[in-house]
Amino acid sequence: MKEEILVECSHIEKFYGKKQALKGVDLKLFANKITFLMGENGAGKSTLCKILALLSKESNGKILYKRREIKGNLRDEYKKVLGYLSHQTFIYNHLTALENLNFFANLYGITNKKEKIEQVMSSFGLTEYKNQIAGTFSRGLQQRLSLARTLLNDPTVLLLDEPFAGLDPSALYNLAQILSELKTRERTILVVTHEIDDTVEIADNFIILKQGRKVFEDTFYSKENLKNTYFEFFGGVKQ
Amino acid sequence: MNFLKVIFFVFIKDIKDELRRKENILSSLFFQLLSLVLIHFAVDMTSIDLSKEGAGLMWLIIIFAGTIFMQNIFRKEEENGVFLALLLAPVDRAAIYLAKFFVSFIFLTILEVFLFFLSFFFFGAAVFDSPLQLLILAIGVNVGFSALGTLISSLLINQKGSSILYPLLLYPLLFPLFAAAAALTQSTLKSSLAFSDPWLRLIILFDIIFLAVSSMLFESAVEE
Repeated sequence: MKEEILVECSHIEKFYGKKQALKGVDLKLFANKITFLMGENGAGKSTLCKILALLSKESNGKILYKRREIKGNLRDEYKKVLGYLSHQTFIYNHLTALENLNFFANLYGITNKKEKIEQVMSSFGLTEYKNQIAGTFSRGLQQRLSLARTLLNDPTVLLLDEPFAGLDPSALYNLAQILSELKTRERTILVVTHEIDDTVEIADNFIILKQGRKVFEDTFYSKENLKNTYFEFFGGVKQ
Repeated sequence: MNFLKVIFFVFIKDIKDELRRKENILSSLFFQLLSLVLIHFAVDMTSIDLSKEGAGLMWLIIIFAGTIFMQNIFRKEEENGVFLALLLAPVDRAAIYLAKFFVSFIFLTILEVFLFFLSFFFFGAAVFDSPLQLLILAIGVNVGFSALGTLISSLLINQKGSSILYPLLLYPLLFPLFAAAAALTQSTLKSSLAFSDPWLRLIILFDIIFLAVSSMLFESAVEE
């Protein structure tokens, strides 16, 4: 069966002054698959992720959603189905968990707001904390609130920029479990990371960036296989 | 998403947040109070005349107190990277700017009302001789000040040394607005406010240009 390409970027270049951060990168995100985008610090992973999230403008190239270039009305349509999570939590410290979710639900124009908020709060075990100020939460709890905020609009495309950074092992395991579960609920996910740990087991595809270029793309077989491939490009001890 | 609704949601959220964190509001108000107390002790009370040098002093206090508040108007969005979450939302970014503009505008107006009362209390300043005219003038100044102050604050989000850069960028641009405000305050207290007054026209022109330009520039200013 032919896999459907949901999001695609073609020949993306990004310049910061004279410095070129991305050098003609092509990338395809297949529907209902988890793609890991890997590479060392400064490889251009986060830049590419921000371009895909429309947070940064590409210098050259184009981004397609369902085979159509993202511009005009499609820009808003794409943003409505997009979820973006990073190591930053994107939550207001001085608002309660409920107020945070309520605010973003309003911005996304979610119609059944009350039910949706209750649903995500219950899914992430936040119900008992709903009236507490988010700034007082532990890192793990903040990450759960952040995930709840990200999934509030029921995004079909999820871009996760270093989501595992700074999480303790149990929070890391929980997040990997959540992502795994999301895949079964027909989500297209891009995970940006530079670490090869147990979380890579959930990947369907992986892409390696090096100095702004895509140097490798393949289906995920095993962690050892990925490690060996990764070390071929960046050096290190083969397994 | 309806443009006005977005302005409303962001505005309400911001007011709630500002009232909870208090630091911006209190530091501006305390600065204002301290300035007046210092002037009260440094200058002969009977010699302060709002229709003369008092006008300049009043607007000077407003510039600095307003700056303290407005340079932090996006501070809550800098924490935890929330600003990116706002930009990700499928809403017109100009609405986010306008909501912030209204927060700044409301705060400046409160600040000025507070200042007028204190000026009256400390110096017996003639602020209540022509209160409506002074209010119209204050509103005119607040529109331009908030428009520019909010835009420059957005340009400096996550920039190192933003607290140094902010006044450096803002004050030269504000000069015509506050020069007109000081001149107009003097004439307003002596005679009535007339549209034919070139200072008033300058303020109106400043407001229109900077509010329109800032609303349009915000989208590209926050692109990266």
